[in-house]
Amino acid sequence: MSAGEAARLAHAVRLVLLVQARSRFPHVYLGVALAMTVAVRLLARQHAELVVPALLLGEPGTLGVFLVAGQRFLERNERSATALLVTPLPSGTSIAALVIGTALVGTAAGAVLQGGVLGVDARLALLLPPLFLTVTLSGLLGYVLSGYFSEFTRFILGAVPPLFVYSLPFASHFGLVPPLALVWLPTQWSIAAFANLARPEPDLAAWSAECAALAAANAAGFQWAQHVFRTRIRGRLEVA
Amino acid sequence: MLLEAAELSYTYPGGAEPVLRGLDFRIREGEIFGFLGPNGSGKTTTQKLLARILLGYSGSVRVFGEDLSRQGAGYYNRIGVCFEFPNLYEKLTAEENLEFYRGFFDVPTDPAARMLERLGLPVGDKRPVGQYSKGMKMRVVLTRSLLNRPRLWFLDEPTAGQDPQHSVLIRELIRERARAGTTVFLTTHDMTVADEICDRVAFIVGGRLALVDEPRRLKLAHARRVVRVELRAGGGVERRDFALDREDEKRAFLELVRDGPVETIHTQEPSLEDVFLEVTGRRLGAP
Amino acid sequence: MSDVPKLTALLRKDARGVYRDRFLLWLCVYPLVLAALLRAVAPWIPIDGMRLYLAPAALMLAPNLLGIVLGFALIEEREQKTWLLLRVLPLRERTLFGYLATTATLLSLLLSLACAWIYGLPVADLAGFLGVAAANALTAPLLMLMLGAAAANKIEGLALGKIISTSSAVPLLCFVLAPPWQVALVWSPFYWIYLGLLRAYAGEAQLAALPLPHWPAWPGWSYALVPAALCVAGVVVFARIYRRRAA
Repeated sequence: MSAGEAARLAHAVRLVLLVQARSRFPHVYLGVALAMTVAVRLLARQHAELVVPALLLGEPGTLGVFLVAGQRFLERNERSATALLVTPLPSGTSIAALVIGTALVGTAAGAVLQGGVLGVDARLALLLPPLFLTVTLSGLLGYVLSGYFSEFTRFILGAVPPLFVYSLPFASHFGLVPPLALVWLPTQWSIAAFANLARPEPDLAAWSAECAALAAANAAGFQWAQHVFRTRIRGRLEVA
Repeated sequence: MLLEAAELSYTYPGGAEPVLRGLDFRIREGEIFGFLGPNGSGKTTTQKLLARILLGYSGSVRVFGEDLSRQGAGYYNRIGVCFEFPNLYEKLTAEENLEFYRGFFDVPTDPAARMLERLGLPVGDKRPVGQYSKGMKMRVVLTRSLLNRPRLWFLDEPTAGQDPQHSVLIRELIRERARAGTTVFLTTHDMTVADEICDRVAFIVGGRLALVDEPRRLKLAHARRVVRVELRAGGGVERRDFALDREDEKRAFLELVRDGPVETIHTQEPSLEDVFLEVTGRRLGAP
Repeated sequence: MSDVPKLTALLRKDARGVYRDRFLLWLCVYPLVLAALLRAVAPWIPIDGMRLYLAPAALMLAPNLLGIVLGFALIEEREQKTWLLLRVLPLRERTLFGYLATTATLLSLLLSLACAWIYGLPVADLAGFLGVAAANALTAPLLMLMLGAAAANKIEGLALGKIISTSSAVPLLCFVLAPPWQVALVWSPFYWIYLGLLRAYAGEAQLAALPLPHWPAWPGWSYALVPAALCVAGVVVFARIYRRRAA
């Protein structure tokens, strides 16, 4: 990526964050993270190693699905996405900005939860990459799914089955199925990473493998998102 | 030529019929070129294709000397697009909308404040544009389309929703930009605007171009050589028409002007809409 | 002219819509599927009495889901300004809002009772159960109008949705907060509904045997009437706000 492309991406991420901030979403979400932290400390501190990874996957881990899609449908109603189409901003950069902007909010919220319950230590710093990659993955999923629906309300219902599959790793986390059975699912690597980092002594070799798997899943997801943009979204950027 | 289109055709994905059928036209640099037609004729589709919002046309289009289909992201550094409907981030202020837009270009851009002032919009306004009237929003959109000093400027109904004062301001701005060398591609069904500012107009109906010519020449070509005189007579106003191709009527006209109580004299050119109707058999407002 | 024929026309249009539109059908089916899932998962969770503790959740799903989806539909109508079309029809606004609130409530009630049946836990106090179930159904129009009124766009709607889903976990605090402190939770209809449903499932006599450390001493009728009153008041307030903001 050239310096110019990086600058354009950073600029686009700022725009995404500003739009979200004007709707007070990051403030609310960080407040929710704080509330979850307090609730876990009050109700389930002794089970923190089990509960925190599950919450990380359940909340910031799925944030992108609805927030990215919601922003896309909002841009469709406002017609603001068409305005970006006639700038030198490549569509891939536009997608990346939407996903990254969302992931920054989700990662911050997840860091509050982890730090607030398990403490601010080296594990918190190690959590950031797999958490960020999980939220971006959820954003890419939200982007792809949004290409198949004409309205946000239909999207909400249509997203439930893929979200169910996305959330299957809860079953392995709570010992209902063996982890190997879900190794094909990128979020299995997510919850494995979160669980790894909930233990007092994380396994760094496993952590590296988990991050690499999530990065690969993101790369594939990004290609898919670009394909969906070209085939399903580009011609329908505005409400008729 | 800045833009050349040959046999330009387009069918929307999943559509049964083509929306554009073999358009041929050329636009010179610095020209204000008007695309006139009724609703659904293909004006906006043509503009969207030329602005690379829609892809997948057939035929050939060359802009800035290069094949349009091969243009990369840099093409947008050289064009500006003012859409028919406001498409702003409603929660952001006007200046925020413009400043973010500026950040995406690789070429020098004009400061947002100066451009806002030029179009009669408040500078330093903290209100989100969602609270602006439609006319104000459209002027922000117009301002935005000029930030990168485009060589080719696409305008879709630029004066729609504007009060008379701002409509005049916008027309002046268009002429000013054209004098400075910007080529303007204007789609509209407002005949006053087209007549007043376009160097040439193209009539499009049902996806086909009926003709392309200068407004003045079109009106003269379809004019009746008739003069209408209003004169005071019998306590009221009387109107008389004189066909200048008939010697007897020409003589009568000259006598009246010399001796009579003439109040007004008007030649009877058709309006562009009259010409459009005569050429295409369709009224501009009709679908 | 009375509004009854117009309401009948609206009802017929919406019923036809549900029949023809798969989206609306799925909206009705999802809560049932989720209730079945809860029933399947409950025995696997290694906490005593989990099946009982999850039972209220099976009922609370339907109005929650309906309210949020319909709320986003209202946000969409406001964004696209299509709500204004309804303002210029010869139909009183109060009637229209009343229709929306009533259909959402009745649909939620039917679905939540179906969810309870699917979950399959026997009810000890049927009268109490039905009263709380009716109050539970009223949360659908409350959430619908809260979202539609308070959120200017979908992003704000998502933010508000997060607040709603967090506050629907408020009942969990009754596991840690002693009764005097539970006064802080009385503003939440979910608090009353959750406890009311637990009480109806377990029965008054069995409450003491529940491993629930801090059971409050509210009178029996309060578990149905208080949330119902909170929901109705909320519906009236948010309907007014929506009308004002949608203009």
